[in-house]
Amino acid sequence: MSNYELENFLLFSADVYKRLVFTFNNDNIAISIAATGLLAFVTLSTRPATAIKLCFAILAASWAWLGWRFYIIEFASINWFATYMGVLCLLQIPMFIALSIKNIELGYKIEQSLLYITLSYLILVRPIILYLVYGSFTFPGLAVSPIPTVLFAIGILFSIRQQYRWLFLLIPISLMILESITLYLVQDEMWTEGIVITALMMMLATYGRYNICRLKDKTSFLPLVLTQRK
Amino acid sequence: MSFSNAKRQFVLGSLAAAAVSSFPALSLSSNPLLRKPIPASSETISAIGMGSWITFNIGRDEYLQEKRTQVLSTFFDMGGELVDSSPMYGSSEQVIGNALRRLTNDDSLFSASKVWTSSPNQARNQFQTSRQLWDQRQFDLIQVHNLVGCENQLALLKELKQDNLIRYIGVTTSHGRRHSQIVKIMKRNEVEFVQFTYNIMDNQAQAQLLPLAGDLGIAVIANRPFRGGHLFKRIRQAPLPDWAVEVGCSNWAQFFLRFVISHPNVTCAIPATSRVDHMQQNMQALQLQNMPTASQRKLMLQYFRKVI
Repeated sequence: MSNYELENFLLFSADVYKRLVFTFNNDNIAISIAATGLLAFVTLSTRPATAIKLCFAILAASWAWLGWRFYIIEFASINWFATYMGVLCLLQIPMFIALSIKNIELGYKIEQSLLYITLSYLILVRPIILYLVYGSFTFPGLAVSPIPTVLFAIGILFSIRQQYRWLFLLIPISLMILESITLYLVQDEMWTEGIVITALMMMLATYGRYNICRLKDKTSFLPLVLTQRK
Repeated sequence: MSFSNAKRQFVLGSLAAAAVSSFPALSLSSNPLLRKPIPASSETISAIGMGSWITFNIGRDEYLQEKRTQVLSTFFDMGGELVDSSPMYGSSEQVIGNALRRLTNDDSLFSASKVWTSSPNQARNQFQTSRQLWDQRQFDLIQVHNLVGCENQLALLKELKQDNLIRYIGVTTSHGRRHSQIVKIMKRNEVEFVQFTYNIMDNQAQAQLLPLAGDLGIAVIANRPFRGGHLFKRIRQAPLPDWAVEVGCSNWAQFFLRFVISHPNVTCAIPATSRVDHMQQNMQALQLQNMPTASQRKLMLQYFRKVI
């Protein structure tokens, strides 16, 4: 007798999910363009410390829209579990607002560069990949689509030096994993994107920090990774 | 192409499509369809119903709502009655309700839904919500979904039955799970319907559940008759056997469905589909003529095992 498989927990068909996401992206393209433009503008036109704080504020608003409008209103209409994912998104609002108003210590240069690398990936590289995979042009979908928003959140969190940073990363990484599982189950060709890009960011941040530690003192590498302090 | 030509072609095309889509219904109307008795009342229902797991969970998409309404309309046109859903199936109940409000051929509806919670209060709320969504004063059948909170919910369902808000009570499971628990409930003689997985591949229910249902006079709803579409993947491009026509099958969907509904103790199979053409294929399996006999069922099973 057959037993439960992972796909048995999917309440909706791949076609219906893809249609829902496509329609939502299309209906909210103006918001996505505005959020992406704003993030690009503040990142390129202000000093890193200011840029990062402003990006946190924009991300807080993005998570509010994504959590309420996409997860709780739209996605929850075919998947009751999406309500919980929406709540996870909304929980990030106070977190990002707090980060946008408190004094933030920037990471090492290589960590700071992750902010720019992630943004460049989302604006310049990702549309090309999506075109090659899907055969049609798709806008980055920041603030409208979960994966690009989560990747930007992870990228910006990697670019700062903050005590208990892993706690701040917990929700974005959880959302990234849940989204990747959903995309895998609906057989979306891009299901590995979130995992791969996050892994690359982690490797880059760790490699950079390791090199800096090696120059200073090899033994301080492990405590540095764990505490995120100098 | 000129506008008038295009218009003419559209009209002719629409008429042709309508003729093609109505053909199975016309052909079925001349042949008797398989109906099975509900042992608790000796009322009969059509042996093929419609499941709504995944297929009717489409959210608020108006285009897809229209498509599902066409599927349900085809189902009723071709002799379907039992429509099964659950509060667990996302927007399925809402979509079924919306479709029923648009249809005029749904007089034969046998409404079947479920309660899916361990809390009796929440179960009552779920039932009220289902009534509103389906726009039904009385449900034909309410089942305890996956036996969740079974003891409490059966007590509630009996109460609702006494209040004339439901006609039959049932319990469900799927994927071959909780069979021993189902057996205990069946033996307590508290339910008129049981629902579990039964198909040509997952046929373990033949050993205990189906004979017991026959002995105790409990109607059986067979879910996952296509094993969630998996059976079609297993047979790949294998041809039907030469003798398929002798058991009334012209495609694999009918082969699988007729294997299930020809079991004497199966009351109704509930395949799910989101496509009108698949619904037509499914409902053509209802024809009473050439229903497989016990020996032919064995042949069907042997052939299936050979091709997978």
